[in-house]
Amino acid sequence: MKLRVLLLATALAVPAAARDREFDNLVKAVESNCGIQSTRIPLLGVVNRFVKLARPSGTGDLKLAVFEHPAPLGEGTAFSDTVSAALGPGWRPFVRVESRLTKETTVIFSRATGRRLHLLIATRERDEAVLMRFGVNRRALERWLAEPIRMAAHEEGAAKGH
Amino acid sequence: MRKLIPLFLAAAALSGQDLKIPLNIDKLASKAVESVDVTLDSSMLQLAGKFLSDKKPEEAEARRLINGLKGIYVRSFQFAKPGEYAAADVEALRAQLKSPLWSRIVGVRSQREGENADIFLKTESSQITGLAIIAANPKELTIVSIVGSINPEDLSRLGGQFGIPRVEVAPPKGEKK
Repeated sequence: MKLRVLLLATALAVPAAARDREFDNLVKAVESNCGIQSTRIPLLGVVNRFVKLARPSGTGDLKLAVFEHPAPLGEGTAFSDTVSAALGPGWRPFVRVESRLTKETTVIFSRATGRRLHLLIATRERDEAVLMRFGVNRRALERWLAEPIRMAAHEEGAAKGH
Repeated sequence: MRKLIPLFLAAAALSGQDLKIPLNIDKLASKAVESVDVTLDSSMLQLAGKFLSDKKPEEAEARRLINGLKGIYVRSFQFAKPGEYAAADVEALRAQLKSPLWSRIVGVRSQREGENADIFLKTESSQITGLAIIAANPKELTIVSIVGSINPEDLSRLGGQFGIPRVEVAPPKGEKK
């Protein structure tokens, strides 16, 4: 019985571990290609455990990386191109917003994983870059399709505690 | 004559093709101060359709709307000053809309503001199978292409979503609201 439980737990943990590894590799790719370091976010793992209950927007399985850089970042496309190239198979960009005035670029990617849809938001601002990946439920998906740009801004602000 | 047949077939095939946003339009992003690119292709819409429930009324409505669609493409550019894009930049797009399947249903021109907007519908076998909007002023250009079967009443539902401007379509004459 214990063996069965262990096998089941392992089977469930493997896809999540693979997703985490993919995100970690993405962060490393951004660090090495864009010359910026990600900032450690204390207690993100604890927050993630309660994120399904706490977040009204129907999201969960949150991974977040914030890059605060002493040196100015390159052009916005360098960041988003690095993210596009480093993402694993199945991710597709569906929204891209660029502002030369505010030096902001946001790209939203999506991927279906089993019965869940995952979104990845890559935002590069003047002095900060953010990578955020999370799963959305059906209700949230409807809102994301209808207003992807507004939802991305809302989600990013919520994740960073703004 | 035989040599011409493939040309006729090619022309016929082209006229039935879905509207493509030309690459030169996407290149305008490098000149624009702000740009928005929304690409919801058929696979993305199908995916969304699978995730939406048909039991809950709101989701069922969204699913019904999505089911008939093959793609939603929005390109919007804001420029710092007039003259940073030319009418020629949109010519390749307008050329596709000269196909007999397309008809312009709305055309608005404002000499004072320099604004103009055109709405085109693609009709096949009495069904609307595509919609295109080109809205421009000297410092702004917005292009919307909706591919797939659209009920005219749904146009107003799509407006304001996916970066699509609000579109009000009057019911046909003689039809009560």
